[in-house]
Amino acid sequence: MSFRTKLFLVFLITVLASVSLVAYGVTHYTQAVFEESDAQRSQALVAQFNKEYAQRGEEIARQVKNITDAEITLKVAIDLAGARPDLSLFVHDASGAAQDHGLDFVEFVNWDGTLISSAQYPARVGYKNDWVLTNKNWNDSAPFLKKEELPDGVALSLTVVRMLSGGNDKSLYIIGGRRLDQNFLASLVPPAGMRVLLYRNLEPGFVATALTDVNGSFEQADRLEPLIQQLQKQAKPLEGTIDWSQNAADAETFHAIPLPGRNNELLAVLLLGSSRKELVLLTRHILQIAGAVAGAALLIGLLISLWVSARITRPLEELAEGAREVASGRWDTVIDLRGRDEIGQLASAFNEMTQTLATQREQLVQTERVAAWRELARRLAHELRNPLFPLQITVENLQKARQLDAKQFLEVFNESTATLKAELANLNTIVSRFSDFSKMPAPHFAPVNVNEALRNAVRLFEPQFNTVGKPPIIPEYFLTEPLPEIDADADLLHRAFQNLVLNALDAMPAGGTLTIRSSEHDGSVRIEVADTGKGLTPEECSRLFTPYYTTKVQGTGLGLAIIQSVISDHHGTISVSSDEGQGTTFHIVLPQRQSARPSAPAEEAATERKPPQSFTVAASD
Amino acid sequence: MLSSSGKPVSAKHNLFSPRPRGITVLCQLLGFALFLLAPVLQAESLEDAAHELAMVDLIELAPDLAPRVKQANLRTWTSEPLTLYGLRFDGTQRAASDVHLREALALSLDRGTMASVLLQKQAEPAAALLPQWLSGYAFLFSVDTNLQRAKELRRGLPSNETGGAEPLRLRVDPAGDLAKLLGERVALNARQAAIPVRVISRPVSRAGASSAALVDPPSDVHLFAWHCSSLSPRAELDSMIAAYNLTEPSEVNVTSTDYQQLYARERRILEEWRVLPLVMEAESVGLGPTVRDWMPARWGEWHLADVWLDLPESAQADSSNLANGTSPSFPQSQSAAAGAKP
Repeated sequence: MSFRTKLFLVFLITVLASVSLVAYGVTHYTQAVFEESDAQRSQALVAQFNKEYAQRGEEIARQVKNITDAEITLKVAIDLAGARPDLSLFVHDASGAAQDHGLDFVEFVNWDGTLISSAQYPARVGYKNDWVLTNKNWNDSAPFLKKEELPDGVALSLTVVRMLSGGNDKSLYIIGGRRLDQNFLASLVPPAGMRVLLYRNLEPGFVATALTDVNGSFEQADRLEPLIQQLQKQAKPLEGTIDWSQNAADAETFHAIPLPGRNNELLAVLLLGSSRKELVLLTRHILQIAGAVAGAALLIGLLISLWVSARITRPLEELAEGAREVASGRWDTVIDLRGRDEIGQLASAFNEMTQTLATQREQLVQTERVAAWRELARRLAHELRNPLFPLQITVENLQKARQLDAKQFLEVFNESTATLKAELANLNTIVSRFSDFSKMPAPHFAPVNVNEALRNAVRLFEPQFNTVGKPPIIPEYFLTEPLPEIDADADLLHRAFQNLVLNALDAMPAGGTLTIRSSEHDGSVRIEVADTGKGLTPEECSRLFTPYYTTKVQGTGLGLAIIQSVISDHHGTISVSSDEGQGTTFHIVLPQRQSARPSAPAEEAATERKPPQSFTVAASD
Repeated sequence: MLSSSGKPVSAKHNLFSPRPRGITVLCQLLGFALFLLAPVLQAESLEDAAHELAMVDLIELAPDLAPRVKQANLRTWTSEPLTLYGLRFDGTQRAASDVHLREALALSLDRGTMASVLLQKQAEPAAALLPQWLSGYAFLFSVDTNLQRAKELRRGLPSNETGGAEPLRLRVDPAGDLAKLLGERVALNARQAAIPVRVISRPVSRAGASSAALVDPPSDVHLFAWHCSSLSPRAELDSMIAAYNLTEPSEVNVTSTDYQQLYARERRILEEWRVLPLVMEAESVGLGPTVRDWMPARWGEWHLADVWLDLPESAQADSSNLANGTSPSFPQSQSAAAGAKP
């Protein structure tokens, strides 16, 4: 992931988190304020309801008191307190009283609880209203809610009971009340966005028609059924939200307040509905603004990230490209960056570094070149001195032999010329080896079976494993079969393996075990060639692949250098591990495929491996 | 008697049909007969009755008003019980086809309270279809309230036919508050026997509404009012049976005028509980102080030809006193005293 993308993502996350946090906070705060306001409005409406309820109760109490104080009522009470009163005479008195005093319900109940007269249900005359006998002090009692039975059903009444003594310790009970229905609700003035409903809990279960608003019957009453049923089970104030439609703005929060009767039985439920439309619209507005802010911020963030990335990543990319160029060998790479900021300082430091590296490399190359020439001169002197010394002796012998007789001279001459030929041949061989190293050909890749190449290389030296008079060498193979073929130059690979095996044989003059391993790993082939010789010191290991470096008395130091050159031309790696006294193991890793890799560098490397330009001459293997 | 529109009006009109307010009567009796044109009104309160009697000579009294008028010492006349209020089961309805349900309902009815309290003693509890004064054997019938027995019968009924969930539909056929009151009382009585009854009123014709639009709601029981208009018990019974389509056993001799046969016919009808008599209501009228020789027939027919009036001057003064709330001082003739039978 690029720095630009990372920067944009960081900016995106930051902006989204900030906007979300702010939007959530504002929404939460708004909701809390709305809830508080809603609660206050509900409390105000409840207070208004209570006030209206109390006023209506007082009005009813006043009217019932007027009925009680009327002379005709006193006459009724006196008549009823007498012996064997004619109850039929009072059947219609309550109706007249209700009409005269503007009450919906008026009933006269005799001292024994018998209903004498009923304005709302005349047919009930004669039945018992025993509940009035439970209180002996009705005149001080407050208005209460009552379930009023009517010929065509039931009604909710705000009722007042008063007593009027007719003598003989017999009282007439006057029950007056007014219907609590939509007309009562109409007297309430709810704040905007609120409304009042009344559920008359007069029948068991939920009855949709018992729910009324100021207009009468209430549609979709069944949606409030769960709330009312919950209140029926537990008569305490509840709150619930009703979703009238799929649109959240149509939702309404209802505060349900139980209205108990005289015996705390639930007779009605006051429902204060508060529309959530304003809150929902406000929340939507906040979210829309937050979305717009987030969008704008994202756009700005994108532009800023582009600008910042252009400001930062471009120099960094140039630095990275410069570093890659340095890595590829262009030590004099210079980055053209200006500025006094950290990036500019970094570019300046980079340029200084490459300049220093180039200078030091030049010095190192010159030093190594001198050292290489010296080493080459030493090796050449050493290699050439060996055949030159016999040549010098032979020539001197020939000069001395001129004084001998012809037969002896001929004998010496023949011997000397043979020696001269042999030494000249030796000189020619030495020169050929150096020439061969300088003429390492570029590899021509073709599918090669590595296991087969290893076996062929080892097979060449099988006669030497059991040479008479020498301790035997035992080859052991641990080859993975089948091993995938690799792209390689079979001749060069054979030459490298041959040198490795030869090197191992030289390392085991006292005999031992030659172990050959091959395996496949992650698209490459691993090869190990191990001997059980005396091993190498760490210093020897570190210098082992240096050209012309050898630990042998008669070696050019080119064998392992050639192996490394071949492996390198195959884009592989070679390393050595050794424990002194335990033997040495060479590890080679070769890629299976070479298609994407040009062979040109090998040719270039071969060109660069010309003796004057590279390393000193070492003893031949 | 003529109405204001000039059409003859029977003195025995059904009280529960819309009453003609403002019916005028031209009744002036000079010598043996004098007719004066005067309104026949129905007073709605005691004050109205007193006021109207100060202006007219004759007013009809509703059952709830008659006792008060009597208490106020105004002149009233009350007929024999003439109008039978009863319940009639509709045989076509499934709920009404169970005889035990009908009996349970009959046993739950408190006819005494209906007559003495709701109708304020202007009626008598009725156990028979014909009044005692007409048939002479009505006293042989008796149906006492027996809630215990009614509840037992109710419990024995199949739950799907007793209105356990569906109430018995009681349609009040006569118009007026009194019939509705009786219907509601029947419902209350039935509820005590665990028989749910729902009172439904007959749809009222309104101006502009076609008669076809008035469809009677289905009902199981009808509350009816039957006004006796004949002195012949057989004719009265025949009319009632024909009007209400009451089925009779085939062996009954429907042409017999023998009282035993009549009793048998009525008893067999009542034994099936298809008709449940409730109360027999009498008619009451208020008489002005100038009215003399008010002697209608027992079945309520007015004999206006026999009536004569005093001079209006003296009566005017007396009636004015009544209207002002003072005690009445008009002459109380023995023959026209409250409750006196002609």
